Amino acid sequence: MAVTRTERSGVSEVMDGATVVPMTGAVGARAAVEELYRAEAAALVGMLWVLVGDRATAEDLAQEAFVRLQRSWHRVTDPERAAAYLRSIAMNLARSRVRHLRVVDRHPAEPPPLGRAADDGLVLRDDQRAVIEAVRSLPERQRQCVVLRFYGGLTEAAIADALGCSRSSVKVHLRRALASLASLLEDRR
Amino acid sequence: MTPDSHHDVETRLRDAFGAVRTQVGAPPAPEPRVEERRRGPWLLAAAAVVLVALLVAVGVAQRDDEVVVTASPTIAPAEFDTAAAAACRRLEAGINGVGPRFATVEAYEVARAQAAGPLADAVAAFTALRSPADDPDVRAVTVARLRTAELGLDGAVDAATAGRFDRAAQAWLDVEQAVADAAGALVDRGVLACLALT
Repeated sequence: MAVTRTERSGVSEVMDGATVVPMTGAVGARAAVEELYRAEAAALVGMLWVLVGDRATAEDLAQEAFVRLQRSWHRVTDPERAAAYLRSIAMNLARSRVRHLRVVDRHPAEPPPLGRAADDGLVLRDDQRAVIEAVRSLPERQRQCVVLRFYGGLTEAAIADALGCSRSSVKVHLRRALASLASLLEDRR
Repeated sequence: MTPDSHHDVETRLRDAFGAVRTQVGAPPAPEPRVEERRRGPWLLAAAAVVLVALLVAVGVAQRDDEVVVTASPTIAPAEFDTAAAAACRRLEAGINGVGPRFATVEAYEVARAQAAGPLADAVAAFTALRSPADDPDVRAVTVARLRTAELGLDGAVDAATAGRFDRAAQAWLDVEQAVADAAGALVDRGVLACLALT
């Protein structure tokens, strides 16, 4: 989200084109989060879909991430880093969800838990689906790095920020992930 | 890994993610202004009447069921576990499966409508549980918490209608907490030890 900050009468504001959004107080927090929602929600849902494999779950996790961001907006000291904070929340939620689903899979029961539908009617070619499945088979950290880098288009520094790790660690995860993907995709040819 | 294969993987990743992006990208709903979409008081009154009717029905069912429990505690603990697990899963699916569509009144109303069914099912299922392992006190607490969740859903819509999305978000979190507490009350007593709630 391309925004600039201004100071007016001691109140921080975000300017996005003609929109001026107050950044303080409950109303300001709501407006800022809504602005962020319009800018980031679509990409966040897509990234979460790749990670958890279900659109409804991805939408819920994205919404939950925004809800938590709004609840803790008072902790956001730099609004320009709000998107990174949001992605960090979303990645943690996705990790928890994936772990939960693994536990559920060990205790099958009727009806099957929500969020395990195949691909929600997404139309993908076989080779595209193979790529998604290969990404989902990666270790958690590698999977997150790949999604943030190639879906989210984040830099290594931004990924490190979102995942709370070092930039060199991100480099290592990406290198290993690409090597694993090359091998996995070669096997599936 | 050769540079060529590295490049090939990156290309395939971008291609696959691009296909996903074009199909998954849109946010759930455009944002209407609250002031333009405020519902008439009659609609809220009707919703309140329906809710009261539901709670009365649940209360009657609970009283009836308690008589049955006293008279016929014959269902095995394993069956109880299965029924309780199924009820919990309906709850979890109902709450986790909808989620509040953020920052729109319609979205909270949709979320409430979608959650109302699973919640009502779960309330009925909990009230219908019976076995030697079933504790009426635990069940009463559980049902009370589920009622709190139902009221919280309405509270979320009311707050959103008033333009207080921060309160609506808090109300939704209260709903989730009430559901977690309801499940926790049973887990604490060990009757749902088989259910993996994380």
